[in-house]
Amino acid sequence: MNAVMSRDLGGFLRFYWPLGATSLLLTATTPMLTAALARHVNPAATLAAFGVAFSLCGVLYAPLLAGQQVAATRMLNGRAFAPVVTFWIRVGIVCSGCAALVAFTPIGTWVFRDAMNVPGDVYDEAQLAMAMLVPVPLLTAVRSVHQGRLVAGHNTHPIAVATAVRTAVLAVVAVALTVLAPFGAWVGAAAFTAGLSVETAMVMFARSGAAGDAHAAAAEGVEVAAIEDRMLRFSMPLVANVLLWWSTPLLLNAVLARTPFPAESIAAFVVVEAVAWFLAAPVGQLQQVGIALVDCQRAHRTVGRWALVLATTVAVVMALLSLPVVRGPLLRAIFGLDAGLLSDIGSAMPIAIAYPLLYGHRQYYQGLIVARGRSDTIGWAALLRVATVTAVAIALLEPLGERGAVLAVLAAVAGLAVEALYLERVCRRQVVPWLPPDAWASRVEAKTGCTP
Amino acid sequence: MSERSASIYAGAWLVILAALAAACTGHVERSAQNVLDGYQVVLDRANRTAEDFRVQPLPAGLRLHTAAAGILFRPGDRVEEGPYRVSAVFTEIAARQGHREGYGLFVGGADLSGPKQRYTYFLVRGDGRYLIKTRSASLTRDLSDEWVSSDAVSLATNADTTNALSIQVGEGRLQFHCNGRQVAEVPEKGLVPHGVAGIRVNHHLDVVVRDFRIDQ
Repeated sequence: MNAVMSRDLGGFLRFYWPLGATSLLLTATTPMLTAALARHVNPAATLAAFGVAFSLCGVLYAPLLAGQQVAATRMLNGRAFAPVVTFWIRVGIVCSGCAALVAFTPIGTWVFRDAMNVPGDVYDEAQLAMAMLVPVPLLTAVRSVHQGRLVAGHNTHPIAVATAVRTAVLAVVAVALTVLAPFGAWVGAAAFTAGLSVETAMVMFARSGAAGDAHAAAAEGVEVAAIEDRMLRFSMPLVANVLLWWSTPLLLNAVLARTPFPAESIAAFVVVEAVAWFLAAPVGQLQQVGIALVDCQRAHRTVGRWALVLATTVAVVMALLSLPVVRGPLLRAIFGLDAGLLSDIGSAMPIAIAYPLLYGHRQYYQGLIVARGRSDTIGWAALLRVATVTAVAIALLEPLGERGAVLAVLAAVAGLAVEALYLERVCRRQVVPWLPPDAWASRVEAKTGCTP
Repeated sequence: MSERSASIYAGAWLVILAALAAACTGHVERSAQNVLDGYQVVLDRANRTAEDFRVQPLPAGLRLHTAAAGILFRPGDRVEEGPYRVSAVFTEIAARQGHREGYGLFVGGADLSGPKQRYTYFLVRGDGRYLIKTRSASLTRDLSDEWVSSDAVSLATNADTTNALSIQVGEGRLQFHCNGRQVAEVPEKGLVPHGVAGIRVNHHLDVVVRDFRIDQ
């Protein structure tokens, strides 16, 4: 990506729309599954079970998502792709093994019943759903590194296409299983795994322009172990970041399981998260913007402004949809839930308006920091966020125990705010001042001898 | 954007969110709602209304349509001391297979519409299980091993399903019966078995209650 594209709004949109579309398609799966599960004869228990199983699976597959950033960054720096694939597949196998332990051994009972305090009905369904999610970490590992390969080659269209196909497969499988088989939380899990399998296969075989199979380091005989060691050190804070991100719903579910109405609290939170993160999805890929489009201070100001406009637009849309006169009929039509659960969900929705602003902020500054090799900052920021989320959730358990969804969303917003502000502060003091003032002007001057 | 502008922008959003959070918090109290002559309903969730627990009188009983969980009772249905037996016949209308919501009886009720609400309850549901719990304010404690499977409990078959329930208090113990068979027994120790007796129905149920009686 050259600096010219970061000058032009059209260039920004051409780069960003496939990624934004991918995010929307990616996050569309959760509200679709949630809408199907909400129609179960025991909606609260089924939604809660799916939420609990999926949040635990998220912790196991989340570290693999960092493979996309790592692969893209390494390849943009001219590194080979093969060692990246090998490393992440090994991690994927370990994580899927952990999922299997939870699904098929007494470890699952300890995790769900003892540690998370999940009620019995919810546990029964959650364990079955977990069994369906066992392959997810390994599939995610393979998918992530190939997505990174495509991002590095600036060929993001296959990513969007594969995600669209995954969403379609997920919808078809979910409907088919709902009609043909005894329904439960496991249906959502099975549909998710089936869709992910297809998406992974498509991304694996998509071509990119930057395979990076031959590069200076390999030609000089650098050992794979040495490459893996450096990759491990760079990757670990990013892995920790993603792991801590995905551990947040698990932590919040564990707190909600201790409220007076655990199944309803978790179920309402599952629906709020599904809707809110789908609506906030367009800002999800601002991290790629920070990595690929910002190479000077002028680009940072320009692109940062567009990113802010994007995040604000999304927040305004969410605010409009959160109005009682809009959200009530909408949620009833989509999820078919009773007035009680809808009331719980409706109370939390307005607070979730903060998600696109804070999340977009976080993603953009994370991109700037990752592109400059400061992955340790990312890890510390994530730790700060999770600590804030945990502290706020526990503090609100007593006063807001009967409004579990509100409790959880407030805690999530508090954590995001702390993390986003920390990342911005670090960026402003330690990253932006070291960027060249104007990379485009420098390139033109070097080429022509004239100052533009 | 300058740091000052960014701070103002962020501050404005935080103020808006704080206002929203303040609007969503605040203590909401549970209260008893009169639904029929002499009958009161107290819902588990303070943000539910009487519309979520509709009670319809029938010639031989009451029909309850619930969207929220709660208890139905008459304050006069109180036993202060001595052995007694509470019983009723419940028919879940068009009980759906797999629908795991329970209904049944409670005893030892006190401060039912207040913050120190207390009672012990016995529920059954369509998957052939029963549950015995005691409630103190918003906290509950299992007296059975959560939902316990029992042959005595009628299974839902997508048709009307009937269960005759009773709780017998006396001789230092509480005995729980379903369809003429004892399914459980718990010692009185640690419980308060005397007080108001009534009916408890969870959410999303359509239940007819007949022959509710207290025998001393």
